[in-house]
Amino acid sequence: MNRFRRTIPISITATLALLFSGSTLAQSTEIPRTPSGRPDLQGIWSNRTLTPLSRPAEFGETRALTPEQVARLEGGHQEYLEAEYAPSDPNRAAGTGAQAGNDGDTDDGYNEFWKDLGTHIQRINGEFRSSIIIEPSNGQIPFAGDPRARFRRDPNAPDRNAGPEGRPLAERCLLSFGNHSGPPMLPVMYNNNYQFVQTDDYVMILAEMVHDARIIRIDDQHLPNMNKWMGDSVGRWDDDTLVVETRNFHPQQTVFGASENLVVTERFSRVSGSEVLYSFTVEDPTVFSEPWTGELMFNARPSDEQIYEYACHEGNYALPGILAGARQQEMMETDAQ
Amino acid sequence: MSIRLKSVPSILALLALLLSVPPALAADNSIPRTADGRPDFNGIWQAMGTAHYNLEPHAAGFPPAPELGAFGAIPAGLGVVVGGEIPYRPQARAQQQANQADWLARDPVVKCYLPGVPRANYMPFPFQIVQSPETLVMAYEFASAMRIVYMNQAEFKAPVPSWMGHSLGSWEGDTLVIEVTEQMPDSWFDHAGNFHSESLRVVERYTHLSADVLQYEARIEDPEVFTEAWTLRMPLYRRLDQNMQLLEFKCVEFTEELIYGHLSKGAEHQPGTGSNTTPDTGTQP
Repeated sequence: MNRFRRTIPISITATLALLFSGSTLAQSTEIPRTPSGRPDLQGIWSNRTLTPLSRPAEFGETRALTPEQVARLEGGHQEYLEAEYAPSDPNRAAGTGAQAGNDGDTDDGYNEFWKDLGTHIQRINGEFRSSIIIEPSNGQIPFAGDPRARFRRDPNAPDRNAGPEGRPLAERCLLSFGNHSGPPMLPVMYNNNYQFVQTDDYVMILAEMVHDARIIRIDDQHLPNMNKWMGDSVGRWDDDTLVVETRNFHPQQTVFGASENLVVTERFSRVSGSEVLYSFTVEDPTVFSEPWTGELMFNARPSDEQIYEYACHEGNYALPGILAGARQQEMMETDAQ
Repeated sequence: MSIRLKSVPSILALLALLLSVPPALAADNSIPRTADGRPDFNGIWQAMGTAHYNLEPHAAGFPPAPELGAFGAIPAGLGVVVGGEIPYRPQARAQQQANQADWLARDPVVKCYLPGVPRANYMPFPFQIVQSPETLVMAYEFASAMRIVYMNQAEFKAPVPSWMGHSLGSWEGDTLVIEVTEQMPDSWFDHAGNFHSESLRVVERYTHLSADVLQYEARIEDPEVFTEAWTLRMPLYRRLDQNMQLLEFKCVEFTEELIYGHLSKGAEHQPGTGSNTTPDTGTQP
């Protein structure tokens, strides 16, 4: 992948590092750079991890996990995987056995073959993380008021089975489920893949689902009177870190219950040949009592891998099935009366 | 007059100087280039004309639904097919005509399906090229369609068929050449029902005519549908509007009532009454 990339001679970095040892410069290693000298963020990346967004209760205020805790969590996941991959009993009843109901929606949903959760706890700057969220320090989303409010439905929303507009965005193939395309870009059940392509004027982030290319304008203004799925993203370089501010999200896009006042600030740092450190801060004073920040590592995919086309709408047989099922149910209820 | 006469020798000298420069080099300096010296296709581009209605020559025509009035009527066009007509096999021509007669119901982009290549390039929407040495992305406003062009990776085969195909790029001098294979058979070339099979192979050529105009060519090969390969050709223009940006036409939300409306609560047509929700693009000749 790096055939054409230029790198800044390490001797300069090394000299500076000697002069300023102890500062962040000392951590600079030789990273790929674009012809104009910016860090080169390009490549195909994955943000999958076993570390959850919010911290599990058992870890409380503990951000850093011990090697023993990591071994337990990763080992436990490995055992789970082995159980999932074990041959299942062909005579078992629907909804029983290791794979039963594990997508939370059906009796026998996705088994592990389809999933892409990774095998490792997130490690950032040598620290194993108990949660993606690092601020506030309890690792939780700081909902203002009743956190259950985020699960409440918009009173003006159509009935969920009345027509396509009532179904979730992911079922309608408008966006991925679970904030995959973001921002913030978070790992989900599968296809946690992104491709970054960069010029001096734009950084394009392709999220595999749903073939959504977020085109980030560098050193520009936000567009007036415009809202977009995934918001309107404007970036700038802060030394070697790309800082991207996104606002003006489509009113139907729900980012953890945030309102139209949502602002997401992302920071991308290419920390090694195979890693981009990604941090994000979510602000919306109408929904969150304080801004919250998370950190994730984007890891390079193997160089021989590419991103598949996720053509969702073209193969959406489930949505008409859901609606037809609801209509059938209504007819049966009518007939029974 | 005397001033003009005096300037003649200097004009001649200038002409001599210009003529002494090799033409290729002179052209080199007239188009934008990337840091590695390749032609720079970064920018937002759009086709003009009526190719998206019909690649072949056509007179103006009626709208597909009378309520649309003049807004939906089809403007005339001289066509973009080199040689005028698409060389269909006879049965395939009959299929195209059947498609055209029923295009509102059959055309996949009416349902917001990904348009495929070359159609994505001349939909009446802009698209943006983001170019780097190894990867070139074409992001289309229509339906958030996009394609990744892998540069100089001729050995990289398509893992599976896809709606936007598998794009492998290379350079022939200053021309960007993209081979597109493994497209789904369901996409069309235009509203007129021009179509292809899963055997489609497209070879695109992008060449700067000037800093802001590209010559776009697509050679279409599909022996199942056509008697020989044929080529479409049109300019692509840089959008020069002040503050031009690629905006969003996600599209799916605008077609839900069309596709699923018969399944909504209270709709006249209920399941089992013959409404068809599966793609019927009539592409099998």
